[in-house]
Amino acid sequence: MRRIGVDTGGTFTDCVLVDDETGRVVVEKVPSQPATPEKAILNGLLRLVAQAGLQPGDIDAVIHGTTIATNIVIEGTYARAGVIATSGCRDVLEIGTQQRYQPYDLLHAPKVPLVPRDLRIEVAGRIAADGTEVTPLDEEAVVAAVRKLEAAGVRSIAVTGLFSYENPAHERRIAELVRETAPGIYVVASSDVSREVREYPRFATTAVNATLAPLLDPYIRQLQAGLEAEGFRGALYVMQSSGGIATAARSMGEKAHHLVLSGPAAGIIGGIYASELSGLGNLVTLDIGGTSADIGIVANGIPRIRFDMQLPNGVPVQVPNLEIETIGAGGGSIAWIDGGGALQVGPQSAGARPGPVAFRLGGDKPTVTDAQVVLRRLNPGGLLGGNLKLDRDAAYVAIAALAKELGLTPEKMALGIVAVMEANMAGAIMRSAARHGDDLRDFTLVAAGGAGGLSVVPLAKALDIPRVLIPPHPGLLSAAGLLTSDLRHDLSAPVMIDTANPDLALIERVQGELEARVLDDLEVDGVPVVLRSAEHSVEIRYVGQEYSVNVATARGEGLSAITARFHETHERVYGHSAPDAPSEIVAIRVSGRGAAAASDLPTGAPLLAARVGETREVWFDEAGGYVTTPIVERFSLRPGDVVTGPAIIEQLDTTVVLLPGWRAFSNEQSCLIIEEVKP
Amino acid sequence: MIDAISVAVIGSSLKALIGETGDALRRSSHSPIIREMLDYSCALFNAAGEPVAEDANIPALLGSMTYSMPHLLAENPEGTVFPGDIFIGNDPYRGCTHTLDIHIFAPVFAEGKIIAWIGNLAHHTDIGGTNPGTEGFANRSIFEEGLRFPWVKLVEEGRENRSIMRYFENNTRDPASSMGDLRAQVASARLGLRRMADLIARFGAERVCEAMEERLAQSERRIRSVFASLPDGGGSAVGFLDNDGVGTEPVRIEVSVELAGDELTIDFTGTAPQMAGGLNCSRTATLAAVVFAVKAVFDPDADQTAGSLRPLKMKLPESSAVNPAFPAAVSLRHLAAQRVTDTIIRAIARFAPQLKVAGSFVGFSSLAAECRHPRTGLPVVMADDLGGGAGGNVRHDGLSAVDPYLGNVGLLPMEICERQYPIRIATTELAPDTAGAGEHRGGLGIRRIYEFLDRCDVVFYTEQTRQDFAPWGSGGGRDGRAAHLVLQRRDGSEEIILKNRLIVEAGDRLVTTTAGGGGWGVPAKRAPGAIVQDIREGKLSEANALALYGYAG
Repeated sequence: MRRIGVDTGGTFTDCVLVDDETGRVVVEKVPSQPATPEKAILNGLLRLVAQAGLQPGDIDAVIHGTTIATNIVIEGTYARAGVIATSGCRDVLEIGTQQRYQPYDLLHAPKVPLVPRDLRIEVAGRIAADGTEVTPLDEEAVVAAVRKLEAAGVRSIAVTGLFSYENPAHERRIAELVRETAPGIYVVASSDVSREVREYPRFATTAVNATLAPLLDPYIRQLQAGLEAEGFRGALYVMQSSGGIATAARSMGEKAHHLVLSGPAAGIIGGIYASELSGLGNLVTLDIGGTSADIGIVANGIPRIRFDMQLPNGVPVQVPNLEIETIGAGGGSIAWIDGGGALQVGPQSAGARPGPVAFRLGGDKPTVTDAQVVLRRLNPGGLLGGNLKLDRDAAYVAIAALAKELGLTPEKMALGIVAVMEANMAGAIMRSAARHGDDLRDFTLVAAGGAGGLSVVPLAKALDIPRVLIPPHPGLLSAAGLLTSDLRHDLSAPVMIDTANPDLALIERVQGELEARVLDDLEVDGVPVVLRSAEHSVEIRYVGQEYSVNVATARGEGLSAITARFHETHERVYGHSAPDAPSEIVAIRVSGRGAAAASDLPTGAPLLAARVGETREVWFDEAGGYVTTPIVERFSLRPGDVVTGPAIIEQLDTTVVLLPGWRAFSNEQSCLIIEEVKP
Repeated sequence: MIDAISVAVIGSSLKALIGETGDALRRSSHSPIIREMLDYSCALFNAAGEPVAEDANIPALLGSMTYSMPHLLAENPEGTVFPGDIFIGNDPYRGCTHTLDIHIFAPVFAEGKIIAWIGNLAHHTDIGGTNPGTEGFANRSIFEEGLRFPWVKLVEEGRENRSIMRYFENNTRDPASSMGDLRAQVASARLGLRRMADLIARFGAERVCEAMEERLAQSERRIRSVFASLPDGGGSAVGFLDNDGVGTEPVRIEVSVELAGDELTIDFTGTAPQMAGGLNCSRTATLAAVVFAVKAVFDPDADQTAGSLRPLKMKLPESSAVNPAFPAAVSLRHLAAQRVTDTIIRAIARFAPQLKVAGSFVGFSSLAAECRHPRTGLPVVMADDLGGGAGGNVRHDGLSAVDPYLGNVGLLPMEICERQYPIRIATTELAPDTAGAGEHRGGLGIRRIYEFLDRCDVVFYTEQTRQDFAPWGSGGGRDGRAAHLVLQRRDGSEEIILKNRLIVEAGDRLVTTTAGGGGWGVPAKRAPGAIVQDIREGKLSEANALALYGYAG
């Protein structure tokens, strides 16, 4: 097999080709084209294939991670959609939970609904909680609504009805009528995107789907057509928010919203892959950007999945997604002193523009990156092989001005800015870990993305994380993740089963149905039988609780074993459990997997010459000042070579700060492993 | 002296620690009031009982633990408190706001000395008393409002006091949920103790204590610098509750606010004497309203600590509606506290140039129904609270359908309601023509129709049903439309709902329409495009467009 992973980022589109037969890996990086991402992709793929001396027809699969959906939800550039709602629920999308996002803001901006009220039309029709019909559907009103929305120029219609998860008849009939009346309009029913109780999250998910699909579907179709036109005959797959991939066909229509976290998910999967090669399965992945940082937690090689999330505008979406915590702290975070004399870092960020002072792009406020330049942790001579120039003097002046206000030296100030940013990150990592009762002393901190290297060792030290891993190319982790992800389909069914008096036949029937469906889907997707599998789990909680715990199970497993695991998980995560209290199963889940092609991604990297004798005066607090610090070329390290801190380890896109008392070595997999030197 | 960087680093850790205890409490609690309505709060205190870091999702709870700690410390002097002790309290006459808020406090020891306290409070569903859910507008005294725990040890040197637990369990209508929530509270406090131990091991007790003191000083300097940067001035306002819960006369809330130099004085002189019913704003609830208003108006982004309160001077007349004397009933203090907040905001808006806002809905139209589960037939208690329109402001139209100021509770999903209770919600919609007109109009109220499918024993209550007390317009804007609740009996008769406890039967309906927010700015200045959009969206009728804005299409 020859496969290509192609990851569209904000600045670059990364392409990685793996030839499973020869073990060859080829890498290509081209500038992204935000307006027409598919052009950058095709450009990158063609250059990649040519570089490898192959033809497009030689490629068996292209796997794509995209930020197009992420960008739409961040920028709010949704497609124009309409809603047809049955009795009583036209305004659910606008009222939401009736909660404010900023409770202390007396000048709060109005919440903008995904679909404005004049494009939400209510028609008579009501289903009761038990699924029986209270009011029949007014079909004439439906047809009139479709005509009105069509005339208003909507590209899609979301159909929302109360209790449709119990009885979807009205929603289905409305969808039918839409298709008959206006065949050109995309229609989606809430019961087809979510089977969960609670109208607002279900309707919101449906509306998110309806406002994304008209924009994403054409993108994927164009990409597919472009690939075919260039002679690519292999299948196209797309990374989903769940960290699994799906065929292009299953990434469109009612699945369109599954792409919301496509890009970030690939990074975590890449982190898992790189770490597993080194025999490490408990990971905290940290991807630090200019304005924010993404934190992911992986236990035993399995990324944490949750089944709902919130978009940046507060809208809930019910979709399987990797649990990624995003915090507003990054290299561009601005340091300032508040009216009380307290040092603050962020949440304001200089971002890429105007950027840190040292970049000389117009930024005049001191940022975390400026502090790293002042301390000479970042090479004042420039980054990216000299392509990005840095002005340390300018950074120094900006930091010194701040330092004066607090009566500190500029170096102490710079150190403090970095320390506060890292404390904020450490707090966020601690809270993420606590969510599942993880003990960080069993974990490895992985630099995912280039900017993390500066902070991973200090963070590990602060959090009692014993080990840090730097993958060979942190900047290419996402593209590598694409090549190692399983094909994945998640299905679930809501149930209400008392564990003390369980309907075992029902559990067996639901598990059987869901498993048959996911296995069928995998067959349709062309996954060979030997690579197909189904993983089962249940959502279980104490009677009276609303949050449930996901407990993995085998099909047909006895309930006593499941409930024992539930109590144990509850105890670990929440610090208490009540084995005598009644519990209930509220959902049955199945995840169908088509295993990724089994061959390993080769990790060999060309050995570069050592930078013998190169040093910088770098400030380390542990040493109480500037220290003549060796600068180590990362790819000059052979397996077994050990570097002892203080040191700076550099490669093209990553700078690692090795604190005194820590040491680093390269392993057979070309990963850098960093540990505290035990006295 | 500790340096600013250590303070920031330790402060960041303290905030993360308290946030983590809040996460743990929410996720492991049993009752929807904590997990969905987020009606809980966690805080860290110094040895003197001053809050240094807080985690509160509902603004009403911010600062409310501030005023209970001193009572605990006075009643439990040094030498009587030991490592592993955990205290419980909920008495409004010992610093709490109402009996449903159970407070838990645990001392943090280092080198044999108390150096800090970890605390949390959670709103329990029921703690006994006359009414289901304990709250009652017609309660005549605190003795109708369930169990009152003085500051006693729920856990003694690590050993749970089972007698207290069993006694508590025996006196609530919802023991499973109460015990589950209490266990979650204790576990959350213990998590905080473990995290504090880690922090002390890393930084040393002395530096942690110094950092806590400096955080308080920083907060104080920060708020003082904000006050000092604004011109001196003062203003006063009067707001009214529809009635006191048992009578029909309005209840006067009067507030004067004066900003002088770097201090702010809030004076409630002129407020009505304490009420006969259960709407009294307990002293701590009044102070929490002040804390919210000051933070929201002057420095919303600052961390809340005891230091932020130091430049505040508060005058609360004794035995008044905002500082009732024992044994006045206070369970529904929330209704009064919202009106208190609204009146403080109005008083400050009279002189503070940065505060250009109109009044919001503070009626909190609610019902609590004791009924039978539609499938199991077991007794259950349904509760729902509706928000309304927020006031327009200098920048934007007001938010529609929100629980403003101190509140921020979620509304009951229609699907959850009908599944768990014999009550069908026929519709939930934005109520057209409720918004106060203005250049930036108020937000819209909510219209929700409840259809009762079985007999229920219901406590209804609402405020702001009188047009003269409706959300106030500002800067030339008009008032919002007042709330209106009507019970439609199956036989065709109707009854206006204010505060009532009634038996309803299958086929009866409650139609609740909450108030719209007040408008900000002269209506004639409203952009024609915004008027057209409101008409197109069905938020404003053409008749009202003409009457309020002179807009004729």
